[in-house]
Amino acid sequence: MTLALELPEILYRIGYYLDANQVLACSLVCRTFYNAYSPLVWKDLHFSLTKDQLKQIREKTPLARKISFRHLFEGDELERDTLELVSILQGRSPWLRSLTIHQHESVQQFSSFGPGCNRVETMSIEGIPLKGDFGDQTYWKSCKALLRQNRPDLRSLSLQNWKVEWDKPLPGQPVWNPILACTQHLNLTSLSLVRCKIRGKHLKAFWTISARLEALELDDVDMDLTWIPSSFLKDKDKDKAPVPATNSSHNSTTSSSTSSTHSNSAPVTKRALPPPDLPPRFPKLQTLSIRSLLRHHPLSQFYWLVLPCPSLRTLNWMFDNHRYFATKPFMDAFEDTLASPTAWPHLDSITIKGHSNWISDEIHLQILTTARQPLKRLDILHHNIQPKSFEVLQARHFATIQTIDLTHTLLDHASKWAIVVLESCPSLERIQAKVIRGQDIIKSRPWACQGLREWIIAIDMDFDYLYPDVIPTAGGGSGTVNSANAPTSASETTTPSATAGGGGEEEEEGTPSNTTPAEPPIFPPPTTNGPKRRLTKLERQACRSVYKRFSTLTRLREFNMLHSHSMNYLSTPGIPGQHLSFSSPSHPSHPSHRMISLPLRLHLGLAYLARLDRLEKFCFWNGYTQVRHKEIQWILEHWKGLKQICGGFSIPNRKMQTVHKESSWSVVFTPLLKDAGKVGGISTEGSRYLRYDDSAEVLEAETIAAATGEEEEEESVAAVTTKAKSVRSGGTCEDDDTESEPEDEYEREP
Amino acid sequence: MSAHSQILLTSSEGTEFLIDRDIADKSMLLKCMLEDIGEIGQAVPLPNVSGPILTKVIEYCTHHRDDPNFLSANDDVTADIDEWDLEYCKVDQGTLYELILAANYLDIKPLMDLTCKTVANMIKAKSPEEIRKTFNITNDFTPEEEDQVRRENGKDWVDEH
Repeated sequence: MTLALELPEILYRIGYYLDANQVLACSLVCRTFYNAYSPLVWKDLHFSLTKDQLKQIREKTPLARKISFRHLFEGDELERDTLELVSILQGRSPWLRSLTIHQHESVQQFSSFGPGCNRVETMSIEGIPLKGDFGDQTYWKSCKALLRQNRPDLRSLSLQNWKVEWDKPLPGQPVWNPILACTQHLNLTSLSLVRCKIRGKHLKAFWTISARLEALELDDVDMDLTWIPSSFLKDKDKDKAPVPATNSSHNSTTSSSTSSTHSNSAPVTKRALPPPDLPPRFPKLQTLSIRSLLRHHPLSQFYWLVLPCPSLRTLNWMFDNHRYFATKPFMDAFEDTLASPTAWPHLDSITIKGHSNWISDEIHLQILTTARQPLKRLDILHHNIQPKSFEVLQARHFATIQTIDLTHTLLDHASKWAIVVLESCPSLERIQAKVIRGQDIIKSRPWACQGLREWIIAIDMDFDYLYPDVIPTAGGGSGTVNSANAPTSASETTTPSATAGGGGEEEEEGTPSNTTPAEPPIFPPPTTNGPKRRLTKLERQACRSVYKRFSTLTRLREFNMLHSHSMNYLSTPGIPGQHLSFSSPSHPSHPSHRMISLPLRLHLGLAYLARLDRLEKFCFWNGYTQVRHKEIQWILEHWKGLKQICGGFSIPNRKMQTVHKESSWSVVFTPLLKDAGKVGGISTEGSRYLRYDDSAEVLEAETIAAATGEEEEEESVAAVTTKAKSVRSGGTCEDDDTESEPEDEYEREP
Repeated sequence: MSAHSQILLTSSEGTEFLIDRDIADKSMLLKCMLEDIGEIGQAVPLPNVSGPILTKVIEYCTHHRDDPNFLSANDDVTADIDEWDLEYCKVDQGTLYELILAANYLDIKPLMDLTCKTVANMIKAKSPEEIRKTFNITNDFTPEEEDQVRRENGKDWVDEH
């Protein structure tokens, strides 16, 4: 290709003269074109604008296909900008395919822009309270018009907060919900209702639409589904037992069988049951997601919504904590026998979440045992997946399973099982667990899951296994609290293995920068377990081996070592003398020491990940290690598609004051990204920090200050912290390449 | 005085071009350079621009010498290209790309706009495959990636061609 067409700025200028379709065509030509043009096309705009964003939009006038308006008019000064924005977008509206409107003010401003949007396929509209002085009717009119003019194209509609107050509407108060307008949208196949009230004529409209739906999401919806008399309910709740068999049959005999339980309630039940002879209400529905239908009993949900879906493939069902799961009827319908074939022959992806009192591993096991093959996903939320269930999963479904979540598993099993899964599930696309040990990764057989897209597991390097000879003595000190004592006590016991473990390099680096004749730690004591000192050769090798296992997972989109479950883990303080056991008896699901991060260092193996160029999200736990320009630059260079990077840090209590102002640790990233010339486009959302108690360090620094005989007893806090810093930097995790460490962002004194 | 002063430029092969200062000023690169260091009387080397291309560029700048709207000439995206410019751009593709590069390097915005607009016109109403053929570009997507891009872009763009 000629040089002229390889320069993005030139391609961009050319794109300036093309319309959306032509830009789209260009993005399909080749990679260079794609990289230049796709940002022009698929800008997913979320308008809760900052000045900077607006400036970007003004300069680039992207051919937006997705627009989301949200809290647009919060500041007066923004209004003028917004008007400008709307006028920019006006010319682009015909290209719009996805539209999200939150806050009705947006819509009113938006009325000048809305009429141009007549090819919208996905729409999300938030309702407004009916009471008050809002121009309800204007808003409704805009919505109606939008819905009308997009009738042929609209495929997906999401409605939020469309509910009148729970009590009756005032006399004369109109009630309207966009769902009423949808009966005419013949191509509407996906509907999402969040915090909506669907009653009366609205419910009627809903049942009309239901026949053509392929995807349905219900979250906190009041649907006026009559069923199950309260006496019956009370009885059930009292028993807390699975539903009696009488109620369980899912076929047309249900109503008659119910009468045997409670003859007095039978008539009511009969009236309220879904008419048995009707054709299925959701003949085409493939994806069903139900969440927080607080006003509806699970049985009611089951019979009205879940059961009549013969085409169902994906079921996502969440209960609130107080409701039991309709186990028996569900299992009866689910089980696939000759006599009664399963109600959902295509169902291959099941997620059921509720309170663990009601959902046991038995159901899990039962589903695993009876599910038709292939099964792609099964998530049943309960506390422990038992070995038996895992065995069945392995025996029956490993070949086809695509998503595995081992979050709710004993930690001791989790790492081991995760490895088994990685080794033997060729279809695996997503794996989630709390934590996996570095040593397990290193020892594992080659991984079968070469198509893996999402990795959501924290990696704990837990170096202790490298030093089997070292047995920590109780009270030998934990990593953070007793760090002053730990080095000396441990170095005595570990001298022999230190020479073998290449601890020699430690000596030059480990010299504390203070004048006290404190012994430099020859060997890292296991209780500090790595985080705040230089890694040994063995440890560095381990890091490289771990990184290397990921080098072939080229389809990885998300590499997440910092999910929320790992945060519990991170914050669990070390218990002196117990750190070698992976789980402590008192908290079997929590590890007994802080996690040791896989350092973000090129020479420690990050460079092996060069081929993971499809990564979109990268999250890492960084511990005490600093993030450096070098690595960030490398990441931006190699992972061109990266959209999100986030990391976790340990920040000493004392430093919180400086960091807190910026309120997030984007403090760390933003400068790095800026330096790398890329600040827009990559989000650092999800980054977090953990405070750790550094009083020991401060104390240490003070002791040192006292020992060196410094006269200024009135030393300012700043001076003390500087001391502490110098002490710490002696033991901070550093690198064996020669270049000097950039200053830690946190270490800069205010 | 400045209207009559002349500047010496040297193309990549070493050919020298003597041009009027006001023509040189059409190039932001040269303009800034001359303002910064003054006229030193030496030839300004342009190692990125060949003689024939520099001739073309000078032709363009000379034609638009007295154009009062020179800098905003092509701001209107939808405006048609004027006749002289249209004729000017009737060159082979190689020359056109070199013109773009030269305009980019010398920072002559209207020429940049004109040439890019010309390329854009060549792209218009073409499918990706036709674009590849026109510009002799190899498709370096894997089939999977191509599929993905297609899906990202929505399915209907093809229909509209």
